[in-house]
Amino acid sequence: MEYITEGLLSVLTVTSITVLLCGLIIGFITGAMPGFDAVNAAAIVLPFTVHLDAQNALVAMAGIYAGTAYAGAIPAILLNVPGTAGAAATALDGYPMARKGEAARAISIARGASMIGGVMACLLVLPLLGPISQFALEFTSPEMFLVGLIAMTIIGSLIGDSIPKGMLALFLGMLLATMAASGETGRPRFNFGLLELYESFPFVPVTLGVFALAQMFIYVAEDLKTFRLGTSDQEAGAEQNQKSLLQSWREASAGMTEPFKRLAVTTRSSLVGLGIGILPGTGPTIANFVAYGIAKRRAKRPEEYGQGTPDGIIAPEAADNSCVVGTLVPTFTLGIPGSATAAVMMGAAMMQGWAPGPAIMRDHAVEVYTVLWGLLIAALAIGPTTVVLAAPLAKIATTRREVLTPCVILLSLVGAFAVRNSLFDIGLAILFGFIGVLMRRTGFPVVPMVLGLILAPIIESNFIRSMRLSHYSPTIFFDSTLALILWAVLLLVIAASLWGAVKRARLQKEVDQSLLGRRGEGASVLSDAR
Amino acid sequence: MTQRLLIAGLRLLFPVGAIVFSIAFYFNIRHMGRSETIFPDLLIAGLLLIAALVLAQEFRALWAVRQISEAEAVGRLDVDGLRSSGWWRSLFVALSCLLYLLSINRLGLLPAAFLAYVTCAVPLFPDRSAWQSWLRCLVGAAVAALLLDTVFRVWLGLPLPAPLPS
Repeated sequence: MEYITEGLLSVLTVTSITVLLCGLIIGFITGAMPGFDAVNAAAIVLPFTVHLDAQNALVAMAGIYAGTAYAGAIPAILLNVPGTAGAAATALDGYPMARKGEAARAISIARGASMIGGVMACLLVLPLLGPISQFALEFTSPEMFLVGLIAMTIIGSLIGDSIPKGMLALFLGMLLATMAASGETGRPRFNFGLLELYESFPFVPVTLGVFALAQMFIYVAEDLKTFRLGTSDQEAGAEQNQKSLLQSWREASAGMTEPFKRLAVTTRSSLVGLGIGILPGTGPTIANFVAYGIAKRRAKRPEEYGQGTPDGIIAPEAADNSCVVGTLVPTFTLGIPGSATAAVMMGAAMMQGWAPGPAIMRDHAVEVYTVLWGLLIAALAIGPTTVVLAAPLAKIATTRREVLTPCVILLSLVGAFAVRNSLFDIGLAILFGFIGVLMRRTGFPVVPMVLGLILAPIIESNFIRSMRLSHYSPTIFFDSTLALILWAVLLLVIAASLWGAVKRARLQKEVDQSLLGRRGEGASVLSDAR
Repeated sequence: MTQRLLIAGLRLLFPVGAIVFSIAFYFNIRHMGRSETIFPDLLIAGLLLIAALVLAQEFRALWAVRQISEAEAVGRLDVDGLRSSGWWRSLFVALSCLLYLLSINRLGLLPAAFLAYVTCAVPLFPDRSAWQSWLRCLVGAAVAALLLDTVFRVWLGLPLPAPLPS
């Protein structure tokens, strides 16, 4: 309780509030740009956080995370193009509502749901974080190794379309992380004689490469006709909606109370988002669709979903924002990032000298609570700030790519250089930009690779410690009751992943068979099914 | 047939690259102690196994399209948009990154950023024959370079790369 109060007092300083608001505004801008996610913004800002202290660096990241989660709904509603993956389900009802001339109301509903989702999740997590981390601190090395294995299995199997592809990306990330000096002996390992790799595999250039540069390379390769996002019809509609957002503040804030009136949907979706966020590697992409699906199943009139019902906006938005908070629970209690953005936050903390693992809450409890209070304040600030910024944010949704791309590229390159003043890091960022493009274009998810970079040191150190304690006998991993329970959980996770894969394969087979029956018209069906 | 082979090659590039990388890794750490190599060894074994699985999947996908027409096969193999018509623009943008890398030490941050911005923006103009596009690009590049320079020097206080001797 003492740490919670100290955290609140820490965030209520001029510096922290300023940094939080800056992060929030960067998050709004990023979220409003279709195709640009929280992780892209966090990666670009990451090198610049070196010049802040750990607490403010994380508060800035928290602001970005919260801001992006809300603003992704704006292009989803105005253009039917989700600003972030977490707002994909919002478009299902948000866009039909905008087409009915209720864009301002739809955006306000999203705003209200985002606020409630974020606040509710923070209020639930704040008192729970201490006991969870106390429990995590009881874990010994073999048990922490098993927790790492469970996280690996969840990440590898849930991210992307194919388990082997997700696992390959994860293992590659982990192998890259071992290209640093051994934690046990301090001797350099497999660095090809490159001194730049001695300390650790540079996290910043990798994240900038695979998230920011790769995204830009892909962005510009698309057809120039689609540069102005959406069809001309959508754009005309968006312009009309932007005008309506400019008309009055009253209109811009209309609908904010609707999530309060539909508290059952809001609460249920927030809890779903929080629960999904706590699972490592899942994140808002899954949470918003699951919450939407549950809300539709439990609705009295499910046929209204997809036609522009407020519940169809409330459910994904509340889940998206509460999921953001949920992803930080495993990050701060176990040192295992709950999402790609949480991994970048973890990277920022590691650059400030934090050691990943359950000791985070023991050594930096005040800073962690400061971040959570920061998220709560950010959620509360979404309302007033976005009422004022509604119209400019709507304009950002149609930013031209010839303006956006060079700016993002320059920021990424300078960011890669700024951390260590090293040209090697610029080269590494470009190389990982190419690797990121190749991975995305061939169906390999990039997120597991980045999570692997964070996970490997935790898993390796606990593995080596356990093996040394047992004189290299693997029986140590079965010695305690807790270890056996963790093995059972691991087996359950593997079984669930395989079951999911079998179901997907069956679906694929059905689609393939139907394709054989209808040759020539099936490519789009196949890609939809995938 | 050429397009089908090209896409197949690109799809195999990442798993094959991962295998080559892990084998190189394996031979590089042979001279080390057990505590330093045991974890990477396990990772390499896991990675090779998974890469073999991925390759098997890929070959299965390629085998499945051997008897269908070129257009349909390419459509089925290229699910993630590997055959983008605007790849040359990506190349230009990547070139601007390399230009920045090569010129920052010789020209300094400001001109390097200006050059990189222009190289990156030119292929993205909706209309390259309009002088307004060029003007907008040059002004944008100047503003971006100045802003970056300011951030670099004033806020971060980092030393700039050494200029060439006159």
